[in-house]
Amino acid sequence: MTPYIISGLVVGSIYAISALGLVLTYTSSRVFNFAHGALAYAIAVFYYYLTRQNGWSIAAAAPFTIVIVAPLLGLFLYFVLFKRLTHATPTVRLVSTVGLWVAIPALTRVVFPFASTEIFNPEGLVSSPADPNFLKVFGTYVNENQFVVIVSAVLIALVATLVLRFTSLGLATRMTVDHPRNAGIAGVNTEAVTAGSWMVGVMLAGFAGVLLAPILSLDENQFTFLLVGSFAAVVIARMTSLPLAFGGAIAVGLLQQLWVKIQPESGFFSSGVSASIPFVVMLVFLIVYSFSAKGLRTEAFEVDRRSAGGTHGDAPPLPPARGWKRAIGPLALALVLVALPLLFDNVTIFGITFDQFWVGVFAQGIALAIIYLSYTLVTGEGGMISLCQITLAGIGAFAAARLAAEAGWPVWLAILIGAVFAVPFGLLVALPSLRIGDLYLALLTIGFALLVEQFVWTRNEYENFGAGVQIARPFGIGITDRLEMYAIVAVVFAIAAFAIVNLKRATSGLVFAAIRSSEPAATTSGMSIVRVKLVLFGVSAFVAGLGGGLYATVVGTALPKSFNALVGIVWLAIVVTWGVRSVVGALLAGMIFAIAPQRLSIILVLVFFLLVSSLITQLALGRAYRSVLGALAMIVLSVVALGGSAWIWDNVSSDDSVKVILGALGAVAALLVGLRVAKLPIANQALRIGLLVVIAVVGVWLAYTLGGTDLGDDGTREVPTMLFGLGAIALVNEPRGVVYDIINRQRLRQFKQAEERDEQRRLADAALTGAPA
Amino acid sequence: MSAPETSAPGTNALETSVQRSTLLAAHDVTVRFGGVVALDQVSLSVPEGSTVGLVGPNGAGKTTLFGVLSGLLRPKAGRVTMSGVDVTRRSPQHRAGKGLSRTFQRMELFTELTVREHLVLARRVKEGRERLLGMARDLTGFGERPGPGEEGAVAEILALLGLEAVSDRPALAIPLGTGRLLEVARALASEPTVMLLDEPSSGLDAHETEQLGEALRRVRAERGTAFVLVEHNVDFVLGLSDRVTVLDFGKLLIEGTPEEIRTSPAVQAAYFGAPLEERAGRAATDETDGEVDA
Repeated sequence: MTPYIISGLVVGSIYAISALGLVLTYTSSRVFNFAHGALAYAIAVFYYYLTRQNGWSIAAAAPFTIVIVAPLLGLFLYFVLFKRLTHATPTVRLVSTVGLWVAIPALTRVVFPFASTEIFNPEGLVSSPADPNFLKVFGTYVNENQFVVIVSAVLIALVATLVLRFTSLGLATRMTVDHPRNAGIAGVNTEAVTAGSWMVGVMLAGFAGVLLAPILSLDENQFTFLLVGSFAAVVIARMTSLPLAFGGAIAVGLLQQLWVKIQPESGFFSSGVSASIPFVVMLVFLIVYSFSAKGLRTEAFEVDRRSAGGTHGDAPPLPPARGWKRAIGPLALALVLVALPLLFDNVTIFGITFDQFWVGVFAQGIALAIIYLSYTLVTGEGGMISLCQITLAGIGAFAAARLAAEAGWPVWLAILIGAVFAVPFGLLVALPSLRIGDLYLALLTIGFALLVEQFVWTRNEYENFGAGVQIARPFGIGITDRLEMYAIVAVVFAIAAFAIVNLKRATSGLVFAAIRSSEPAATTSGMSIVRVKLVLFGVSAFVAGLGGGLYATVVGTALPKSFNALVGIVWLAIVVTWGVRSVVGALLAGMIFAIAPQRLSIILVLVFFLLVSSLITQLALGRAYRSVLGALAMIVLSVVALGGSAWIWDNVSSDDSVKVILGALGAVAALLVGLRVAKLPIANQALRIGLLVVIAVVGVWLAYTLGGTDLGDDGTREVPTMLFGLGAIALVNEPRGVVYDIINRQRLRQFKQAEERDEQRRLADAALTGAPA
Repeated sequence: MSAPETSAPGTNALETSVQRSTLLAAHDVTVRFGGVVALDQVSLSVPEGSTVGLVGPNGAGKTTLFGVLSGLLRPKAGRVTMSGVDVTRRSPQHRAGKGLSRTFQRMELFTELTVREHLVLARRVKEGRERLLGMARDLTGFGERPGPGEEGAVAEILALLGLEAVSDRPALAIPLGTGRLLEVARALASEPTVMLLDEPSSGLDAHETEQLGEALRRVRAERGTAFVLVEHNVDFVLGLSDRVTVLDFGKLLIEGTPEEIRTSPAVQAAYFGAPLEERAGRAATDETDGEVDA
């Protein structure tokens, strides 16, 4: 028994350190940092880089990493991101940290390519291997590492409590937490307190990461998964109580290890339980709290719509097209969908052969796009963050596969009914979360996704030793009939997209927009918010299930690893980047997610063209072209665009092309920053995209020169993943994605100018009539 | 437990209103936030077609009472009835369906929608087009057509409040005062029988205020809509109201005609600047049985 208790205490202690950091940052800024585990991973990798790769001693590397680098990283993130999130809407806050969760591990592996493979037995705070007979408790040896972990957790908890209770710094912190504005009036530098809490928060994440590495191994999945376990402790603490978070973390750790001791040899509960315990605990507490009288603490910070750069969806929609113009969009989309397979039929143009192989990839992309349409409904229209759409897709896929394989149903029917299977699960997750608000909905859904991943997908019926559940293609289509399969998914996507666009254009679309903007006004105007959200969740579950089934049938098998929760996080980021409220955004996102693993350079080409075209839109819409510098910029841009694309077409698959594209991207980014400095009326958005690209280019360059990661290698997935994580952060305010963002910023500015003119006229009128303004 | 200056005003008001049927009423409503008593056994009744003014200093509980009446807040004690039916535990949307609509002091606009869409939406919700059947119809593409009489009714309200010029602008991009008028327009578009207006004239210039008053008078004359009006602009509220209720520190201070209110010494004391010691003393004695200072 004792060994289990000790290992339970060790795991619980690490949860506790991580949970304390989460509570600290949440209470001081109301930003729940979903990237906490990712930060722990990044810092642990850096620590490994120092100790193993560069031969630093533990005594030098540990303080340098934990006390200097980690807090500086926290400070940096605070200034570039968390600072402006405090007064943003819950949706913006959530998507931003989820984007960070996607970007950081990818960035880490780009900079430290050795981390791409799992690293076993890294060092913690004691040299490895740890002295196994360090201490004897109740007849059981505690090894040196375990001892260090437990002592550190207790010390950190003690210090945190003492500082908060008895020092003036603690008083200032508590004042800031309770009432930032009053604290500010009382002379507390609330910004410094918040910045400080982020430094300490990231330091604790890093500490947990360094301690965790020798116990697990250095691997993103393991890591994030384990640290998500500390979410349970934070939920127990209702996000705010340090002692409860500490106690809850220890309890969850103990529970997990004790279960290992008592679990049955065989039967339903013989596997997957221990790993699911944190999520079961989290679900139970969330449900209990949501129905208890005291309830969960609601978010007390006021949303500042102006400084937040608009609420989620604040950008005014484009004026609706009328008459024949309404057909342009759908026709263009249909044309592209029809043209793709015709072009990619081994046609050769200018010496480039469009291989038929790609039609199969496109079919996968469109199937994914159908799943992504479920984000369009839940997040785009409903304004809710669901992190379990991938699980619903998985349920649809496995239900379809098993109905077809085991019950012998026709495949098309199995896919349809499989999609229906996903609906009750979607409703079940939505029901309690409708009462408890955005953050808890996100926690509940990620908890559900991880629970299913650990408890269900790991079972033999699904895992099948890595082969998954086979599923044939519908209507007797063979595995080589790429075109037929493509046609089926394209038609299904077109129907689903058509229905969603109809929904958005009609009364329902108005209702969704109303509920996103103001729930009190919506409900007192007679709309049932619960009904609307439930319907959205139900329909989105069906759409996700349908897409999941189709994806499985395109690939030929339903694989558990296709439906991992962490992949779902990347999905959300990529959909947000391309437009979470647009069906075209979903299609682009699906296509790119399918193409990315096949050929990285295509992604870079896309990013490049997007950037150039958006810039040209920007310049055309703005007044920049009227000034000399603007005209120059246009010319330079055109030359860069032409030259860049010529090079790209010439070298699309060689290493050189990657370098050239990156060079061109860098030049454009530099130009953007230059234009900004020259104060030309280019929207900040262009600057942000420019900076994003600079970061990406520098990352890639670092990877190439320091780590030797060759981006000509098409297996490299990290760069697009990183870009989409950062893209989600940059574009969270524009639910219609990159392209709309640029158009709408311009329109928004025009509205603002009109508003200012109105205001001035009103003031002038008031002055004339002598009435009070 | 009654306000010192008048004799049981709540019950009185209820009795006098029996002749005209009462559309909306609060009966001895009490609301507490933590230890603070926001409303203490307040009663209010709104007869058909009447305008009830609700005045009182900041923090008197006016907005809280609106929350209780519209269903956003559930009272600790007391009841809310609509046309005699108890709706205390019914949702805001249920009450809206029964003919209640409201505006908000802190504007709650649908920022992405245009001015016109606000009115279209309010009207379609009233017609039940946002329900499941309507959503199913929306999926097919046949849900976009305007309902019968929709365009005319919307245009009429736009004209009534002078919103035609901004009708196709998103609410995000309209001036503050216009937003205030839009709140009123949206509430009107659902063709309510009772409207709760929470400080509709704040942030409006003299001309806009005049237009608002004119619009409310016309709506009352043409549609027989009843209003409950929370206002700081005393001339505005006394000019429009048939009856006025004065709240102070969550208690009903006095209820009467605008003339009675104008001349009441109690109101003068509480609202128009009173000897401070007197007010403070009264508040303290009143709250000894409450739990404010406990």
